[in-house]
Amino acid sequence: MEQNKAKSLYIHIPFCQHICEYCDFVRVGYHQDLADRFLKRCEQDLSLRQGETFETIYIGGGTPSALSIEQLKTLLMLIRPFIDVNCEFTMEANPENFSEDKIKLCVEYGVNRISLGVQSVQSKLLNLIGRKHTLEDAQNVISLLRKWGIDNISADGMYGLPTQTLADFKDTLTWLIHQKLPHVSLYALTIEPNSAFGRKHVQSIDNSLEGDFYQLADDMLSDAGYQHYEISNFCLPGMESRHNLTYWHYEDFVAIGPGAAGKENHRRYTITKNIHRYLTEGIIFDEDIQLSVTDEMFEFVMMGLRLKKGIELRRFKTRFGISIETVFNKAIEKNIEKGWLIFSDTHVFPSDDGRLFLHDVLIDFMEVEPVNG
Amino acid sequence: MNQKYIRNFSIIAHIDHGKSTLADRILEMTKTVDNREMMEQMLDTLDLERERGITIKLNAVQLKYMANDGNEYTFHLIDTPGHVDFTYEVSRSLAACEGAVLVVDASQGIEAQTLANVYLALDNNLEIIPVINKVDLPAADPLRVIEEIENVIGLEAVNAPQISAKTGLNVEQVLEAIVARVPAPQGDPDAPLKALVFDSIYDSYRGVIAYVRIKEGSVKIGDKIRFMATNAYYEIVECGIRTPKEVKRSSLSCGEVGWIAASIKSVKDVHVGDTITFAQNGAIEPLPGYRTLNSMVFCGLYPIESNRYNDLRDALEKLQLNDASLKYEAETSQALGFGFRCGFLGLLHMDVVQERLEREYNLSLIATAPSVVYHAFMTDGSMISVDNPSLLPDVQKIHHMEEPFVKATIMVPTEYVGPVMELCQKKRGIYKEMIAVDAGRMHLHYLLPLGEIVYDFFDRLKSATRGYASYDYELDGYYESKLVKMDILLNSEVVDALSTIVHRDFAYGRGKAITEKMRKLIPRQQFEIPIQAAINNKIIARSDIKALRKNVLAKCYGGDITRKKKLLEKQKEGKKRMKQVGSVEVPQEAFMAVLSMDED
Repeated sequence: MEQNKAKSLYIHIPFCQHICEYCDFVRVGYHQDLADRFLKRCEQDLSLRQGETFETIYIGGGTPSALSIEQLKTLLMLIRPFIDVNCEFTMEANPENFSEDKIKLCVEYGVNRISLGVQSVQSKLLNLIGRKHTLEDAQNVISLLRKWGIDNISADGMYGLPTQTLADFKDTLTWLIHQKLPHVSLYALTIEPNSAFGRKHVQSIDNSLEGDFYQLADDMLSDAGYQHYEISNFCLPGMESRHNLTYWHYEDFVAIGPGAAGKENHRRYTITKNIHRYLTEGIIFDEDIQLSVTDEMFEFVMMGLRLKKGIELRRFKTRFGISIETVFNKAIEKNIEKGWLIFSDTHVFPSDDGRLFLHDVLIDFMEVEPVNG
Repeated sequence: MNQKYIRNFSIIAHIDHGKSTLADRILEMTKTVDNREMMEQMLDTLDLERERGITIKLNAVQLKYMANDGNEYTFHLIDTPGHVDFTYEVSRSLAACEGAVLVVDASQGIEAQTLANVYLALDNNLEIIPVINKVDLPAADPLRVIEEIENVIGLEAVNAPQISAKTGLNVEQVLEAIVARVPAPQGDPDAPLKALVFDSIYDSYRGVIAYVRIKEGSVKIGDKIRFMATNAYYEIVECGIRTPKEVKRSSLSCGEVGWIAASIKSVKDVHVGDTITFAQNGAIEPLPGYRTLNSMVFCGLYPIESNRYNDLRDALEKLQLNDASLKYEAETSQALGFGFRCGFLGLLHMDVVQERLEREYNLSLIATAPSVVYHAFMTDGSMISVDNPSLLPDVQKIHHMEEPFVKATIMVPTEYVGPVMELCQKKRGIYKEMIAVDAGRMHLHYLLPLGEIVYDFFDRLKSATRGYASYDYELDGYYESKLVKMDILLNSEVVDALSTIVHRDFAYGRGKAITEKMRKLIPRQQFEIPIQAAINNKIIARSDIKALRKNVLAKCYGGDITRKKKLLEKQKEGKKRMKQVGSVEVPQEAFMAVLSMDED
C-alpha cells in the first residue's frame, strides 16, 4: 500500500477556563502546571513528525486561547517548523480570553485563520449555556483581528438551545451577516449524555423547530451571499475551511492531543481521552482501526455527501479503482428515485431534501455490501 | 424390579417457592448427580426456562434412596411445567405419579396457581405431602402457612416438614415422607402393556423420544407397539431411564418411569396423554384422561425481511417437532406479506415460541396482536370460527357473535379486592362470588372473556396488587357478546394486521387509546401520518404523527468519523426492527399496541 504523508494536522488543546454546559469534548479546567506538561508532551509527539510539513493546521479544543501568553508562544514555536508555504493555519479562540497580545503573537507565528466561538448574541442564552463572554467581547476581538491583519475569520453559532426562539436566532444571524465574516459554522445543540446538560437531563428541542432553525439559517445566509457548502458550514465564495475539507474529502490527517481523531495510511485512530494517561504514558489509543476497502468506501461517501458539491466521481474512481455507481448501485438508484441524490456529469450530490435526510440516505449505503474493487 | 420399592412423585410449587432448588437438593442427597456435574437446577434444560425461571418441558429422573427402614427405594421424580398455559400437560405428568410434594413458601403462603395444581393432583388421586420451604428466612411464618394449608386445601399439615431447600435443612424428612406416604405403584405386571405418554422430545438422530409411565405390563426392545389415540404403529428400538443422564435399558417394567425410542419421525403421532400398548394382543381400553389440545391464542408471525419467509417456515417446522401444541399455517397479509397464523396454548407459550424463533433461528419477526377464536353466527344459519380479526365477515352477514370466556380464580389480600374488581370490570368481567379464605385473603371468582386477559391481565393484576395476587383460569365456554371489528388506518390505508375484535361499548375508549399509543410508538417519518381507528368504515378516533423535518446531524464532530458512524449504525439498528407497511415504517411494538387499554 502507498504511504502518503498526511497534509493536515489537528492539535487538541484540552484546557478551558470554564466548561460549557453542552460540551462533551475532552476538556479540563485550565491549570498552569498541567498545561506546561501538556506542551512537553506535544513537543514529543511533534518530534516524531520531523521533516513533514502540513498544508492545513488546526488548533482546536477545549480553548486554545485559554493558554497563557508564554504557553501559547511555546506551542506556536513548536508548530512553526511544520507550516507549509501555503498553509491554512487556524486556531480556535474564545472572545473573553483572546487578548490583543495573544492575537499579535498568533499573527507573528503564522496563524492566518481564527475560528471564534460567538454562539449567540443574547446574553441570557450565553449565560444559560455557560459561556463567559459578551457580545462586546466578540465585537472587539473581530476588530482586533482585522487590525492585525487576520481577515479570515470564522464564527460559530448555535441553535436549538433551551428557550431559544426563532427571533433570537434571527438576531444572531443578522449580527453575523453584518460582521461580513467570510465563514460561519452553525451547530444544532445536541444533548450529549456526558455533558452538563446531559447530566441535568435537559431535553432536545422538537425536531420540527430544529428544522425551522436550520431553514432560517439557510435562507438568511444564502440571501446574504453565503454558500451552504457543508451541512453545518457557510462561506463567502472561495472561503471554505480548507482544513475541514480534508475531512469531507476523506483525506489523511494527523492528530495530536487527548481525544483527537486522526487518519493515516488506511488507519483511523482516536488518542486516549484520559488526560492523565496521555501525559504520563506513551501514545495510547482509545481506538485504532485498520480500515478495509469496504470501510473506506463507505466512510468516503459518508463524509463526502455532507458537502453541497457532493462527491467528485473521478476522485472515487481514482481512489478505489472502481466507480461509485458500481459499488453502491442499489443505494444510489433508490435515493435517486426518492429525489434525494442527484448525478451530474462530474459529481453525485444530495438534493436539498436529501441533505435534510442525509442519515437515511447513508443508512442505505451501509446496507450495501460493496463489491471489492 | 419390585414395585413395592418404587415411588413416583412430582413437586408442586408456585414460581419462586423453591421447586427447582428442592429438586436439586434431592438429586444431590440421593447421590444421583455428583457435585462436580451438578448444575444449579438440573431439571430445567432449555436455556429459556433457566432464564425465565419457568419449566416448560417436562423431565423425569430416576433416583436411588436408601431409606431409614434399611431398604433401597427407586424414586421417579417427574417435573411439571409451572404455568397456566400447560394445565393439561401438568395433569398428565401428575397422572404418571402416585404422590406429590407440595412446596409452599413459609412467608408467601399458597398462591392460586399452586392451588390449581393441587386440585389437579387431587383429581388424579395423588397423596399430597405438604412441605414448608424457606423456613430459614426472617419473614418465615410456618405456623400461619400450616394453618392456611389446612383451611384452604383441607390437608393435614401439622407434621409437614419445615425445610430450607437452599441449605438442605430437613430435606431428608421429605424423602422419608415420600417412602412412608406415597403408595407404591399398583398395576398388573403381567397384563398387556399400558404406558402413559406424558412428554416427548425430538432427537434429530433417533426421532421422537416419548416419556412414559408403565401403568400395566412391561415393554422391551423389539416390542411392536401402537399409540392408541393416533393409531400409529412402531417397533421399540431403545428404551431406558434418565438419571438425569440418559441410561439405556433393555426393558421397562410395571411402575417404572422412563423413555422409549422407536424411530418415530413425526411428533404428530405422539400425543401427551395417549396410551401405548402392544400392536397385537394389546390392551382394549386406553388409560383415562386423554384429550386433544386446542390452541387458545392465535397470532400472525411475519419475517421483517420478507425474503426470510422460507427460513421462518423451516424454523416453525423444527420447533413443532419438539412442541406438538404449536400449530401453524401459511397466511398472507396485505400489510405484512407472507407469514404464518400460529396457534398457542396460551400467552406464555406464544412468547416462548417467538423468543426461540428469534434467538435460536436468528429471525426478526413481527407478531400481530394475539387473538382468541371467535364464533360468528351468520344470518344464513352457519357458524364461522375466526382466529384472525381481519377475516371477520361483513357485519351485514353476521347475526350475532360469541367469544370464549374463562372461569378465573383470583387470590388476593383483602386490601386489594377493590383494585382487582376494578380491573376485572375494565376487562368486561362478570362477577360470580367472593370467598374469604382466612382473615387476610379473599378468593374472587369471575367469568372473563379470554380475549381480554390474553395480553396483559396478569401484569396488570400484579401491578394493581403490588404482586400479591395470583390467578388461575380454565375455559368455561362460548357466550354471546356485542363484538365489532375495529380497523386501524395508517396514512388512510387499512392495515389488516392491526385489526382487532372489540366489544362495542368499549370501542371508543380503545380506539382513542390505541391511536394515541401508536402515535408514540411509530417514529416520525418524512411526511405527516394520520392514525385512525374505524368501525364499519366510520372513523372513531384519530391521532397524527407529525412529519420529521430533518434527519442529519449538524454537530461539530469535525474529523471524528467514529462518532458519525456509530450514530448511523444505531439508526440502522432501529430501522431493522421496523416493517415497511405501505409507505410507513412501523416498529414491532406497534403491532401489540392495538391491545392497549384506555389508561396507558
